[in-house]
Amino acid sequence: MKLFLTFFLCSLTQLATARTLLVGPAESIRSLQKAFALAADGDTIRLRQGIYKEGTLQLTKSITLLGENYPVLEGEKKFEILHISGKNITIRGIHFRNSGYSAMNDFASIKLVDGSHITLDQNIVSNAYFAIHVSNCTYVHIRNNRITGIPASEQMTGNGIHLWKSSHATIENNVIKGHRDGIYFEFVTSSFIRNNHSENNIRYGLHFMFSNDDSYMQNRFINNGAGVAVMYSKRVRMEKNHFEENWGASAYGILLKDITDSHILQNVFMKNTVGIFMEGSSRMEITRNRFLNNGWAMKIQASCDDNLFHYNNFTGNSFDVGTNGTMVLNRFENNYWDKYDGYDMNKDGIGDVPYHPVSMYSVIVEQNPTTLILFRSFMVSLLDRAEKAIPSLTPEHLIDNKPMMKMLRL
Amino acid sequence: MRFLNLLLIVSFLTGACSVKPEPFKFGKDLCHTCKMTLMDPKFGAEVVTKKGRIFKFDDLVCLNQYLQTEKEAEQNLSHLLVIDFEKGDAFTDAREAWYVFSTEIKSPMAGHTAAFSSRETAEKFSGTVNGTLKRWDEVSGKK
Repeated sequence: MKLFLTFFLCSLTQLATARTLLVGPAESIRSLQKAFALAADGDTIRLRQGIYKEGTLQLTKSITLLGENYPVLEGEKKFEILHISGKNITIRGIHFRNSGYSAMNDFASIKLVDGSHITLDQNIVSNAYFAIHVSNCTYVHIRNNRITGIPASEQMTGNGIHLWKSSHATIENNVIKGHRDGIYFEFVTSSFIRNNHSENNIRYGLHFMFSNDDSYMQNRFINNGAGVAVMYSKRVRMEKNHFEENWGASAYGILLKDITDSHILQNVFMKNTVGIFMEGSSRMEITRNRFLNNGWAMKIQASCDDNLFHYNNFTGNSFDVGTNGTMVLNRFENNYWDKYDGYDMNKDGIGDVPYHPVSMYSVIVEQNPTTLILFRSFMVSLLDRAEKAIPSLTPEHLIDNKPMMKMLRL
Repeated sequence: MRFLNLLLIVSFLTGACSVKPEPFKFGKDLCHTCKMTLMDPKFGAEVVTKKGRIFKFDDLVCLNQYLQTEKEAEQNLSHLLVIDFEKGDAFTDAREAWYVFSTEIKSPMAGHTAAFSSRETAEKFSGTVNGTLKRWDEVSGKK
């Protein structure tokens, strides 16, 4: 009992030593730099409203930094604003503004290096080169932040949330606009990207490179320069995301390059030049997605194999599937295609003749893009009709054997 | 007059066929190998074939992949260029360039290699990133 009491009292004193430091223009501590020097592990710093110009701040202690009414840390377009390395750190409610630019180094408003268990919550980052830059960290939580860049010129803009060589990160409920890539992952494993809104970024809304075992769900990627790119990765889950309004000669809803053993579930692809562009990808399952009003719902290059496309809805797309070869190593089953015009005599809900998602004209366009000018012309519809009756040019094995008669409820 | 016309036509035709490298349109052009949009003016490569076809790459890794898959390609090239890391968005001959390899260099496709036209700058930069200096034969995977 005595031992327990001693422990109890000890822990109490521990609690009592965790202080709260007040920093502000009217407080005894006026600068954050001084507060960082005075603080000990476990302390909380409350930053009062105001504008603070303190160059680059270094934080290595396990503290919680809370802003009151969004105090501004000003980078004067010269400095990285906050440099964090350490563990158990929380930064909340602070506005990081005008951080510097460097051609050689990836200057960032908030830079996390060699850290773990760091939370960035409800911050605002504006006019940054890189907004949040994370390298070599584990268990980083980046949530509820609003990040807005000014895309002055393409090369002068870095990524919104940039992670490199990290694991177990959670990126949640952020809004990212006007950067190079909204969210960028390179060598990041076992992480979640959830419920973010990435819009009007110059290149990709989300960019994955060499990052295995990650998942991204319920994000919205709208009107980014080239959509979303997922490249050279394994075991990625892409679920319930919206890919919208990615228009342009090289813009895709998702660009998949060398992706294996991954899942694309319940996403919406709407008004993209190409919904999914797939190259060198295999063993993927693409199911229960909605493809609406795209130029091409999917372009599947001949380098893809062993992929399964089933229970998807294809409606209002100019072309359903485009491909550059005749070899077909992928399976299509039980999809709904609005262009299917077969009958269902035995009334089992499945069309009696297979559907050919690759039209004659899409083969011609693939080989000679300028022929697109003839789209919806009389000759082209005639060609497509003839091809349907006597297939000659379209890959004869690229078929959906069980096309659904009714749109699937997804 | 007829002669002049002919001359005009001939000069126009030869002009159209001239084999010249083309600067990158950042944010628009795609890498031929990885299909990524070119964005980083510090890295990249371009090849121009003798027939005048141009291929652009965002990283040395992608250039090498192209050179290895198109076996006969190298003989058919009129230009083999890399972007000068120091100058950015300016080409230099890939076979003559000096390369710095260091894992601290972050290029678009994790090639970790920067190219320089001048040996001096390459050496100076190598010192700052703890890198190793290389020549074309070593970075192009021939050794």
